[in-house]
Amino acid sequence: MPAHAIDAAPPVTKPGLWVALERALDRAFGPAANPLRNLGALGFLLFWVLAASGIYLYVRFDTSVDGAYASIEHLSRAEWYLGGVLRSVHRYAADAFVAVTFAHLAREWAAGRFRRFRAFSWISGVPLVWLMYASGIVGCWLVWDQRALFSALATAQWFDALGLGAEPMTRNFIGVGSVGNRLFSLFVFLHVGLPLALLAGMWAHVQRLGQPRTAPSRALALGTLAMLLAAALASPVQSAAPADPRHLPAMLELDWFVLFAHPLMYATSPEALWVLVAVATVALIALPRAARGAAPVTAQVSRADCNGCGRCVADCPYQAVLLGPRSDGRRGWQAEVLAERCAACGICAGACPSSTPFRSVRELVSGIDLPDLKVHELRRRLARALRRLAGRASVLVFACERAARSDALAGPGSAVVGLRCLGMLPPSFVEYALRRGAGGVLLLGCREGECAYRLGTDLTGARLAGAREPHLRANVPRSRVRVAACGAGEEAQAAAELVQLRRALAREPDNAHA
Amino acid sequence: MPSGASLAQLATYAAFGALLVTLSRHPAYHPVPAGDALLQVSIAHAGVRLHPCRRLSAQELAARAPNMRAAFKCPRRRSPVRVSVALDGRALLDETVAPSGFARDGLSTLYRRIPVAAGAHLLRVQVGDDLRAPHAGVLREFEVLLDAGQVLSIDFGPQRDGIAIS
Ligand code: HEM
Ligand code: SF4
Ligand code: SF4
Repeated sequence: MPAHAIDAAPPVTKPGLWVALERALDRAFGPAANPLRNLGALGFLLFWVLAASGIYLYVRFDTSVDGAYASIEHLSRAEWYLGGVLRSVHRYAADAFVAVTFAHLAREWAAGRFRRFRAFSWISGVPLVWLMYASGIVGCWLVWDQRALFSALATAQWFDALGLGAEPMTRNFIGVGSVGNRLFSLFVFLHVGLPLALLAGMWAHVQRLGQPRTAPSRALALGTLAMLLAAALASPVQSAAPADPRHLPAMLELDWFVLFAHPLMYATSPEALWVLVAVATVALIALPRAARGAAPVTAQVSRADCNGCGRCVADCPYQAVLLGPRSDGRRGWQAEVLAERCAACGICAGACPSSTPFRSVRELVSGIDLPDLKVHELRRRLARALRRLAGRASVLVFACERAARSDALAGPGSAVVGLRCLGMLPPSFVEYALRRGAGGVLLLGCREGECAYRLGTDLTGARLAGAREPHLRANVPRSRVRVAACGAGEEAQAAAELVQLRRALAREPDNAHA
Repeated sequence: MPSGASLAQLATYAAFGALLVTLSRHPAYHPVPAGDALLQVSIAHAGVRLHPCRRLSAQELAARAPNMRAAFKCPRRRSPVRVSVALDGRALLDETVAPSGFARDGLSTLYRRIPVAAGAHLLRVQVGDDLRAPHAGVLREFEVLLDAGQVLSIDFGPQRDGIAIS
């Protein structure tokens, strides 16, 4: 009924193709092991696979230009069961790394996750693409087969187009014997140094995120490793013929994941490839600026209500809260918000011990609050909603405005209070609602892995389970609380969750309503 | 019996693995058309100085700071280098390459890849490094027998007896 209208207008859009694909894979994998929901974490896993297999290959590798080819051939043929398999795993992991990184980029792009407080994550991702290709391309050279020579020469030709340096780099690869051990050692050095730089970049990339998921679930990790191993066994990687500057085969098997730029350059020109790469890089870096939205409100600290416990710091998904020395002369700490990092999700308010609605103050002020949806306002809306509820099957719905639309859930016997993110809800509000007349509480949030603020769904689950402060107190009957994970577009499921909760409540023995 | 979900997982992993295996070798790339050889022109040569050194007059020297009184002034600008390659009388390449560097005093560098049909050919290479005398320069002709897939490099440099192929 319109009288029970939801408090916050939901900015919900129809789920796009990508979201539909992720949800389809949820059915097979579950959200925790869904590769599409864990692309960043998969990137880290693949990096460690590359590092581990690479270390073995390096130990067995002859770093001289004349011995390199034979040493890898030996691994691939005589020791195919270990060295050969690891070589193939190394290569397929590199290919997978490229695929996963671009999928990750596409996903964040499709979800519009590059603006404002995400600009750091986005922009710091761009150089990772460069480092990834640099690492991969140089890696191909270490085999020193025809493919390697082709790639090295093409790369040299590309850099020569910049016109830096006196002697053209291509001339290092022309005559027989022109590539000496000095130059080859440089390749080896680069293939260690560039991945290390990549790792440093990956570390920096997640610095602005609270609790970044840099490791996939065990199931996803094992599945991915098994897949790499199966690919390595089914289709072992082989070298081309040894590098020979006087011979170019009419047909080369190229690794298109890593080396696609060479054919592209020969189909166009080195200059055209530079323009393409430069434009793509600048466009990606400029994207967060070009798409700058309206300045959001940001969380604000009320010093008098902050005891410096640090829960908001621990839960903030964007590392936007820090603890600093108190400015009111008392000893201890107080929270401070870095406005440009803040997503205005309210998760901090949900974490703050001052957010409890049981406080007998006229104006409920949290230690940290969203100015446009304060905890006090939440309590006011809750009180208004509760006035309409009575009976053991009545349900108060706390609904995230990013999840399935909740307007239709309000009706006789149910009322809705909207939240910026489910993680914004202090668990004490659940208890408060149950004590003041609601028969049950439905927490409507996004699907696992779809939280617009990364951590809202997970934090809520942990708080309800008593695994993370602030807890939902143990004496609150869990049978009267239900979490519904329904993303945008899943209104029908949300309605079904409400019906199920009401049925369960109706069956409850009376003593559960003490 | 495996459940539908685990079959779907298996299918997803298999599809990803198949993608990796396939795109890591296919489609095959043809750097030169089948049956062709590759002429690879790689030249890095400094053209002649365009202006000879000149002994400075006494007045000119006197006008300079004491630590700048070199007896000769040598303008650094060099001539572009012109490279032409013809095969069996057909011009494959004719480029005039400016010297590198701000002062145009560096090497003129050229790298070109030209696929040509395998077989016997008459190769004619001409390099001029003084454009004030457009018809001077070095000219050499080679009778070459190229195999398919062979890379024939063409270079120029005084230390290589002028024009060299390898
Ligand atoms: C080497 C490749 C990369 C790796 C290993 C990687 C890894 C990660 C990881 C682990 C996260 C945290 C996920 C989470 O906990 O929610 C993340 C987030 C993010 N990445 Fe990457 N990343 C890579 C490249 C990129 C690139 C190329 C871009 C885009 C240009 C990008 C954009 C982002 C953005 C915008 C986020 C934040 C998502 C959010 O705020 O919800 N990343 N990345
Ligand atoms: S609203 Fe709070 S939790 Fe959310 S980003 Fe801002 S400071 Fe962090
Ligand atoms: S959770 Fe509340 S009390 Fe604790 S540090 Fe943050 S603002 Fe202060």
